Amino acid sequence: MSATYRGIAVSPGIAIAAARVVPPDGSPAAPARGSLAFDGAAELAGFRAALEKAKLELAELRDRTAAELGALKAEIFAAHLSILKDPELASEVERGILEDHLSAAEAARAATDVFALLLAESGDPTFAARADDLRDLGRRLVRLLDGGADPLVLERRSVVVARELSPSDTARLDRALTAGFVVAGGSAVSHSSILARSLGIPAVAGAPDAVDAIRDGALVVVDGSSGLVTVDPDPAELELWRGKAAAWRARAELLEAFAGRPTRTGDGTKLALAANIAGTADLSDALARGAEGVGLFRTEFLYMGRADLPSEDEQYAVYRHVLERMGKRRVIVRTLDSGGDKEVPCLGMPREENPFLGVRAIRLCLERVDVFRVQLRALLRASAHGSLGIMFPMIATVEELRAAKALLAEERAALAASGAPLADTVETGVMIEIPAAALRAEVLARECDFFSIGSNDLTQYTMAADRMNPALARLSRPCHPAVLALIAMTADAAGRRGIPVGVCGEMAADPVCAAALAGLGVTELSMGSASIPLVREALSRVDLPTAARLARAALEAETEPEARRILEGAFQ
Amino acid sequence: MKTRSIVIANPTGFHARPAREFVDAATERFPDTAVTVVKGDKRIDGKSMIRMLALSARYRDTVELTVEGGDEDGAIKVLGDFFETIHAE
Repeated sequence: MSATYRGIAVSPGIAIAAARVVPPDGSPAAPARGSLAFDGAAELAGFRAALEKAKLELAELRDRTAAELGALKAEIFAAHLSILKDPELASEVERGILEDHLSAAEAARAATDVFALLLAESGDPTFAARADDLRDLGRRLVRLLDGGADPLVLERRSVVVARELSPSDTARLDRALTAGFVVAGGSAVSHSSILARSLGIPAVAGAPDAVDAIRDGALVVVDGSSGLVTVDPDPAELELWRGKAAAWRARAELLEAFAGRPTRTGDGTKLALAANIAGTADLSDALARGAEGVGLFRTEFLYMGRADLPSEDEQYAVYRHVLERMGKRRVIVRTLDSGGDKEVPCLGMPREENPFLGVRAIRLCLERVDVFRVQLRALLRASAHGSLGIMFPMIATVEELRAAKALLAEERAALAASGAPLADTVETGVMIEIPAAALRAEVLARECDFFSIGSNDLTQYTMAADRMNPALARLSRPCHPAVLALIAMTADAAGRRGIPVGVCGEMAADPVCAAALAGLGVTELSMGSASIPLVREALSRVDLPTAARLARAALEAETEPEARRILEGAFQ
Repeated sequence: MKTRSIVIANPTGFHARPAREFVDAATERFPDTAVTVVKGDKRIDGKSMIRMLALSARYRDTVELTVEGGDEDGAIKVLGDFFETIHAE
């Protein structure tokens, strides 16, 4: 009879194959303490030989992974190699053998466990995750000492079922024969999950019940998109899963092709899909998904969770790094957008009754000019290293824009006088997220180089509905004709002045909204990187003149569902 | 003996890769130099990858690097600069 278990979906896709159950690593042999047969010198020699062999294995694994998957994926094995060379590890194992009279395998396991615990207790999740690396090395040493066969050598296409899969386990598996993973421990960010995603192998983690239930050779279905594991499916279920698997593969192949293509609508009009990033860690993913720029670089992370303000040099280093990584592609940096739900304690601002309507973003920057000038100087200095646009958030009036630009011009003049290298032009833009700005977009367009519509806040302020309040979810709809009308006004004003207009809210990642926005004249859509191939594929099926006609029709709709229905027509 | 006080510049902290490169450089390029890293009340051997990871030096943390013996000038410069560099993801 079939049974279904739920775990964490860590690598999407559907695998259907026989299970290969990897037995838990050999349980420790009875302690050799006091045993007459114990030979410390032999154990020591055994350990040293195993250590050298492990180093060779890891160097080979590192080089093979680098050749197949790139240096970034090989880094994990380079790190393992460095851990293995750590003199403290060797001396702890040797101490275990000589003082505690443990066998080499026991001493290796004990030492790696001790250090794994040390890392797990470091209190920082990034470093605590390295504890798995230590345990992984411990198993490698034990395997070499026991001279055991590799349980991960597959003879046929299999779903690999294990208590835990270490990074070197996943790398050692024959990719062509590995259909999927089911793991009892782990999470979406553990190494094996990350590696599974990069190898495109469906995987479910955090499924101890499934791992206990699955017998070697049983037929298993792994749905790495939903986290479901089905064991021994009946014929009807199997048929259903086969259909789903085929559909998923077709979709994945289609989307993969779109990551590397320019964005074009069905009629051939070029658009740009950019990434929203909130730190340097998001860059690799943005580039891998084919981002044509950064449409929104949130800079709050530099200011949050610390007691002092970030210095000019510190900010410069971060901005420069991002600009250099993106090369010729444009990076729009949003100046400090504190307030609302983003508290920045180091600014020491008083509490407000209504933080979303308070002294936030540009309002705060114009009050704390000292803080603002530091950020502007860092941005100007970084401008020499790429294609930079500076965007001011929460602009309600043209006076605010003028004041911000005046400060920028002053800092530019001062830096130029000091001989600092600067880009010839640094474009300035307004984030349109307050209805007043959309209504007066015509005036703002005369004095800036681009608009970017922050659809989340624009919706919230237009509908006067807190977007964090689930009870008001029915009002937080960017397709409401009132919001669409403000977007249309903004796009029209930009069109008349010949400046580009982008959208950088959640809306941009919704295919139906993306088509509507393109129809209204938006030329850049910025979103979380994961959505880029999806939206790019959707837009390729959209005829722009049709989308334009439908978007104008949606403006006349009476209700949000009606507007949405009209807009969905772009995909028929 | 030379000492240098440094603020971690990498926005994602001194994570596995920079730590590995630091330890490898300390071990391979400065074999005759003792390398010590201090963060708060933790004092560790800069040639131990495990201790380096357990130090969990984060963005904006201040660390103190001490080198003794061998090529002290080279070590303080090369190893100190590791902390002050932003490492690509």
